[in-house]
Amino acid sequence: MRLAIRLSSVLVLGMVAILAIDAYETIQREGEFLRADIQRDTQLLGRSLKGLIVDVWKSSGEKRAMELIGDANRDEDNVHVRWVWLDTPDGDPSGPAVNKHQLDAVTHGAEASFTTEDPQSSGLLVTYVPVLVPNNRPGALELAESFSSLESYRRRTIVRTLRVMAGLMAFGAAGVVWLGTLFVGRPLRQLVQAVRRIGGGDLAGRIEGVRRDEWGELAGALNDMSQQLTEAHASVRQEAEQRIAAFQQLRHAERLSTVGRLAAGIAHEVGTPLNVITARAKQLAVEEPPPADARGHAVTIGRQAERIATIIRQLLGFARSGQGDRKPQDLVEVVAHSVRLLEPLATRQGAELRVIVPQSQMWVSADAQQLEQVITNLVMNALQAISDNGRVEVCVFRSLHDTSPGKEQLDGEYASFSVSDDGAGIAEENLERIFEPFYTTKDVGEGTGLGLSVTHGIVSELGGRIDVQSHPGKGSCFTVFLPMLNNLPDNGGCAAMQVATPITSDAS
Amino acid sequence: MTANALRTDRPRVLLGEDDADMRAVLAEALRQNGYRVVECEDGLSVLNELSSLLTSTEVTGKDAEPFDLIISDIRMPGITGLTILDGVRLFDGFPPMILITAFGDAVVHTEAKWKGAAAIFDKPFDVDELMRKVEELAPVA
Repeated sequence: MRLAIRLSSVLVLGMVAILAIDAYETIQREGEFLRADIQRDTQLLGRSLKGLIVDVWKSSGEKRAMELIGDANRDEDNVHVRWVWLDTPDGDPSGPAVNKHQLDAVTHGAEASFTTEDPQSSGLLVTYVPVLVPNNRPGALELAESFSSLESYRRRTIVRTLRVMAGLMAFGAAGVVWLGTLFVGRPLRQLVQAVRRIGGGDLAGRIEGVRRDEWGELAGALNDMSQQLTEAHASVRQEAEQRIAAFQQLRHAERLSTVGRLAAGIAHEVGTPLNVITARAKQLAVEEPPPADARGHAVTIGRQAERIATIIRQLLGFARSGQGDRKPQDLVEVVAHSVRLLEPLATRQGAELRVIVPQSQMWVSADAQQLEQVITNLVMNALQAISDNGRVEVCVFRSLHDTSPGKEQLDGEYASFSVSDDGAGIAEENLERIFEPFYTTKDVGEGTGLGLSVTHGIVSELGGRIDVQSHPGKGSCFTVFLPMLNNLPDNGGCAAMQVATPITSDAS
Repeated sequence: MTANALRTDRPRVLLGEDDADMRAVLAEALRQNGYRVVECEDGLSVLNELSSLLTSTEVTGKDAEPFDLIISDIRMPGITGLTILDGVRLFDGFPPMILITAFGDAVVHTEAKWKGAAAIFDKPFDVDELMRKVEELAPVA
């Protein structure tokens, strides 16, 4: 609608401008005609009066001639006639209204007309007709006619033109607005509504009832577009559904394979001790071996049964890793305590176990036992990885974000600790699998392959992350990041240490 | 009739098993049944035994005593029983091989059979049953 108004305004204004120019030219031209007309009339009147006055002046004298001029003034409404002497000085009321030097031609017997300003009206046309009177003094008839008729004519023309303009504007505006609405406004509104509807996501409706013009083409294009969008939508949805289905299938398969791996792991881990127990028990029952052998068999049975029990306990821990009694724990304290408990083990092995903790406390929300289990598992792992005089270092520190390379940086404060060793390291192809249940590279009896799985499970449940870096032959470094409970002013002496680097033997 | 069957002394068995208790059980049973046993605690030792055999016969010319049977666990640290089987089947005249695996490991089972294992035993198995199979593959004269 606004477009239609704008269009019609421009058109009407154009027409009005043309009309105005035309009216102005008409007024100018006709004004000139009228002026010439007035001048001619005045001159004719002056000439006829001139003959009359000369005659009267000669026959009846000057006085009678002046009376005649007065009579002429009474008869003429528009023209004021006056007798003037041309030899009077400037400013004499009986002299001419214009300056004398302009009247040289009149003095020499020619007629002349002047336009003078008149404050009361729109100006005067003053015509001088020279008259030869008997006393030979230069005189003339001054005929002054007002331009008021010209002015009134001009006013009438302007009024008429304005009327025509107003009518034209009214008609033009109405017509153009109506036509604009019909041809521009309505189809445009329809299309705008359709586009809004499409934008709002409703692609079903089609635009109907638009004329067969450019608007119709646009409507057709929009219809095609929404049709294509509908199809694209449908195919995208179908694709997404297929992808979700495939993803679910994959997850199912993955779950199955995890379960399968777990089952195979359990089967293998439990199968061997069961086999030993069965065989030894059978020997005890059937063969009646000598007492020394029998005792040995019994010890073996006990050891293997304990192995099964350990696996079951760890499996339960694995399954239960999500639970636990979470309370604020000082990570520094828990680490120090756990490492103290493990020190005798390290000493017996001849290994060096060092712990570096900050002065301040670092609070995390965790179950104390689970947290101890995480630390113990990692330290035990490290102790098993090193040779007899190797070195294990535990460092507690605060990190502003997860500093592990190759991972997205998560801002926030983390209470972290790292367990590094200078042991054998882990081959790159095994790094990805070390957190899988029952994955172990250790000899049978040394590990069940559940420790790191359990550790990983606990850390994940606490909202943390565990990162591992390893260089085969140089050592490994496990770093645990746990969300910190509150801000701590200082992170102690460990802050400057680059903890993600495994301790290498040449560095010590 | 192979050359092994003609020998008059007791059959020689190469045993690979990483669990010491289990190894003891099997070795004992084999010896009680009249076999000589070479015990190995991992896959690498098994391969070493086999390759030293190969070296001594072909390079030194000395007549090293061959094995009549190999019994090996599949899941062992380092080299697995399946890898050993891969090595064994490259040579003619190498002894039959019994593989021991965990039950339910269908893929390994199929693979072992396809590769030509003489028998596959799932843990836990009956040791007497294993001995019957051993007797069948390498009879004590």
